[in-house]
Amino acid sequence: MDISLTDIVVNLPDGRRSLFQIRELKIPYGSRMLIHGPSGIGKTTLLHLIAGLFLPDKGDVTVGDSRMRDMNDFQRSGLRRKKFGIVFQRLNLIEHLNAYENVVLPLPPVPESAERAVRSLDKVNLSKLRYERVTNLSLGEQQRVAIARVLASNASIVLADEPTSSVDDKNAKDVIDALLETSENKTLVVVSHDHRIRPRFDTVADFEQLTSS
Amino acid sequence: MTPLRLALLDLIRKKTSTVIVIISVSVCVAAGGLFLRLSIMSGTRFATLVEGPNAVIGAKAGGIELLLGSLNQEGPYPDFIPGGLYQTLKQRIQFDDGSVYDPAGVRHIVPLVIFAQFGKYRVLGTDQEFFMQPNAPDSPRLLRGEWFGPGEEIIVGSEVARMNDIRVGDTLTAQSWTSRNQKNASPIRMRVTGVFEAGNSSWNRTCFSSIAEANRVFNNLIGPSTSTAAFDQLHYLLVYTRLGGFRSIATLINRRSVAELISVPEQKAHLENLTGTGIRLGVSVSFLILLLAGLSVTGVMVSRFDGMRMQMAVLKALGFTSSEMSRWLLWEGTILGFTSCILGATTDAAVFPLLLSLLGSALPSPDVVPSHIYYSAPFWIATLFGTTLAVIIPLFQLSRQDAHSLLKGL
Repeated sequence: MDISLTDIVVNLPDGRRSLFQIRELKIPYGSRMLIHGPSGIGKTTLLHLIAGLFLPDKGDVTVGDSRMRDMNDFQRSGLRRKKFGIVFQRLNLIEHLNAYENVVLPLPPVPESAERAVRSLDKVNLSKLRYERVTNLSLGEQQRVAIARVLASNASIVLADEPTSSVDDKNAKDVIDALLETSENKTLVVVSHDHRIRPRFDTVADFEQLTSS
Repeated sequence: MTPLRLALLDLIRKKTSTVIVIISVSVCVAAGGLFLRLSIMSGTRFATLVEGPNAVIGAKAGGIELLLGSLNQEGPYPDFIPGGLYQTLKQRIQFDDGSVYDPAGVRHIVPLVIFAQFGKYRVLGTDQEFFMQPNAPDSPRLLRGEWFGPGEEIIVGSEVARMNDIRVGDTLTAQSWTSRNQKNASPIRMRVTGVFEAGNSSWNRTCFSSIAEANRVFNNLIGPSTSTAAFDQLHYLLVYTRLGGFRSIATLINRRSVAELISVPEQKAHLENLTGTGIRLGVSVSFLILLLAGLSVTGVMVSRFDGMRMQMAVLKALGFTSSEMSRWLLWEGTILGFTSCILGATTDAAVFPLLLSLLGSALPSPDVVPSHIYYSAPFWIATLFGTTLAVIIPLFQLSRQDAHSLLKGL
């Protein structure tokens, strides 16, 4: 499932100034792309745009055959649920739920979902902590819960926003390992300003070049 | 994960907030329900007050107590008045000071004496005058059977017959009731000779027998050596006066006897003034509580949901549809409202008897004017409505929510 962005214009909330413009960005299915750039220039916004959390002021985002602009909110939510797995910058785990419940949260209410959630937590070595509230987990463990959530969702597109921003070298390596392993035979798009992870990706795009082209 | 499970987890895990919401809402439900029930109870009293007699004679006890005891069959066991008064009122009397009592002012008199109870219903002794009352709105009429004789016979009110499945010819066993602090009651078996037509007054929940039967019961309790003629006392005389007759009777009764004459319209107006203010106040307070309850429920729920905006944004980003999130919020509101209603209604049911005992004779006995728990239902409905309404606001916010900005912390 390819992702394509064409003639994109995203304005700042005041509507008068442009945050960024992208003439064309194609992310073929199965690629592992790092979009690199300094903080505060719109990398997170780009990820949200790809996920259909909002529509650009101009231009089109297409995922496979689905053009985001032609879909309503309900259809975009459905697409996100089926096709996307997102690791947020702030992880955005639900604080009052435990690790298992956070992983099972977006899954359909069928018995297989529970098995998938347990398997995903096993994969990120969190099976012993599955009934622990996420607030009782360390940042690294919380990051692994967020990855397990993506893993369980069986998504074909994995989006990760600054996954290594608040972890040390050792944990950064583990997080990227887990993400790469999670996204085998899937599309992985990571946005980050972290130079440590550049060598691990097939394609590295500079956000500033991407938006000025 | 289903919206219901998500709502349950949210409620269970955020215990403190959930418990505070439930307690605050249930206190509103209970307080509102209690006020409403008390107001209804207070107001219902007038609905069953017998209409007809315009004066009542009884032992000195205060106007309202006399009024309610004689015409609404409530209050404690009354003191006696001499039975001789009944005959005296039919004679012309010239007093030493020159004043005169003229029986021409009296149109009709009905004697009443309480001598037994059948379950919660009072059994009164009376005579044929009871059945010959002028054409008053609450004049009793027989539905079935015939008037009782002087022996062990009884006529029952429509409610008594209906509630106990009593028919003409049945024998019922009442318990003697002859004093305020009676310790031992003796059974009295009486044959039912008639059943009254259903009316709107307290006669529906009263049984009637003869004064002779009442005297027999009193004499039996006083002792076997006393003759049946020895007991000659009554509790009330219901009086229908002619124009100007009231003053003449008052001259005789209030100045020259141990009894007290009250004007029914005057005492009714007095009671209405007293309780009417209470009822109006009660209803006003009830509605204020209802309004406050609704607003507090809405306020608490809105702030609760406001605190969950980030959670909603995350769910949206994970692919939850607006419909799923709406169902989650609705479940949460409904569960909170329903639990609060159950807790509030239980508190209402538990506290109401205590409140009644504290208020004493300011309110009618629940036997006389029942007050069911479902009278508080308007508050339950309002609460469920309030909790649902409280969800509508976050639902509206949800429909306009910009998950992208929220997740970015803008």
